[in-house]
Amino acid sequence: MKNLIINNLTKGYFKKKALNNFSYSFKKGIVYGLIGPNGSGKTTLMKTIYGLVKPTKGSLSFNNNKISFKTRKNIAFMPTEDIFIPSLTALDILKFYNNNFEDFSLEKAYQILENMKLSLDEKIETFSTGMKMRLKVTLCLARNVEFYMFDEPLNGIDIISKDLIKNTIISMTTKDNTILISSHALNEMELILEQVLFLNEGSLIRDINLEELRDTENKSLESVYWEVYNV
Amino acid sequence: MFNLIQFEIIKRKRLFIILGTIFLLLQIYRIYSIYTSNSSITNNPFIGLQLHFLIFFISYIAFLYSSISNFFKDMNSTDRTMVFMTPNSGFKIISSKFLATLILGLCLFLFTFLLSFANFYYISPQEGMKFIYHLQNDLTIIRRIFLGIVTLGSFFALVFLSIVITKTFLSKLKFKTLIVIIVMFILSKIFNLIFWDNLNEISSIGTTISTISIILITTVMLWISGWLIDNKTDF
Repeated sequence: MKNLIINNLTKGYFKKKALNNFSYSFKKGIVYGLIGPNGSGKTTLMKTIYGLVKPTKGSLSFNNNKISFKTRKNIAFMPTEDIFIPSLTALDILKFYNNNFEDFSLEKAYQILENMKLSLDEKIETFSTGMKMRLKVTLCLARNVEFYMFDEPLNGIDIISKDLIKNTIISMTTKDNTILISSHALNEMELILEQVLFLNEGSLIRDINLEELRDTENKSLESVYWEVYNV
Repeated sequence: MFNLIQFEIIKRKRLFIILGTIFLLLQIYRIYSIYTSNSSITNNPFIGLQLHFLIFFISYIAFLYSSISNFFKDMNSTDRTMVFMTPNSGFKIISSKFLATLILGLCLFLFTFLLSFANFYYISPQEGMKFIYHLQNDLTIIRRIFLGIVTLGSFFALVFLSIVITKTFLSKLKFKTLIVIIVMFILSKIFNLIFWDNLNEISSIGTTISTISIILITTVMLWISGWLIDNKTDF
């Protein structure tokens, strides 16, 4: 069953197009991968789905509702940039999420943070890149929504945290959830992903089902990447 | 809404801790000066008060600057986009920032006013009592103070709207602060053209009606800012 439908989405910044006539329908219960070189439009696409970036042309709807601030109630997004005010503590941020997202579970967040060995009383300004990333992932995972998006969730994270994040994402996968992950770590993500979208210069250039790929062609995701981008 | 206001206040606690500490130290210094100086309080009752007023004035300027720069950073820095990622409308977010600014400004004003009054009352209780009597019997003072707060509020709404317009349509240009000032200047001219003549007429009728009119204009400015955030601004 389709939940997110995108039609002819274009986002332009003056002469440059970050997204160019992108169309796709996302289905429930599938883990999607968003692959592409830097500047191919992955982050812009995710931000547009979340309503942070406004489209120049085209339409996006989630469960038949036009994308707006209201649809954020059903979509969780982990951006790749730092979004936290440095002078706040992790606890301040958790409370903020708990107050502003009805589906946020404080207990679940505490549990994940404990596993990730993050201190609640420490200020964000003292956090390393990996610690900030773990906090962002936690905030996303502690929500109970239909559509999850992770923009480069494995960036700057140690091996133990990577495994933890991957396992948590796998455990979240149900027939009612859709998960969209953008990543450059192809080998690490290959086991999680089911459907992979290849982007280039803002356009969808290939859409493959990983299971079919393994069965028919016996190729790895990385080898397909090399093929797709002709490098 | 209350949660958002609370969050905005928590965000700015550092400035108020600094200001509170300075005020406290000043008061301690004043009490210490009165009781240790050779010239007794009867000879020099206003000892240290000039410094008090100077510091209060500087604190108002610091508050104004911090409120505007805080909003500018909220709109333009990626590490401030957390609030804009919530499922709250732009109008709600902008209004919460606006109300938090007004509440903090009011707290600062009340605190400095009470501290000044306490010092003044200590020097001259009779004059202090006269002032309280005036406040109780002449409502125009309170009305004018309220009109002053509302006018300051409309100034903040105008600055916020200018920053939102700059972020929405002119974000790729350099010298953003200068652009914000130019946008603000143009907006104030437009608002003056639309409202000023009416406001002049209204203000001659009474303080209450002019206060209500300014509140309405402020709401319109906040609503436009909110609409731009929801429909046009990229984060």
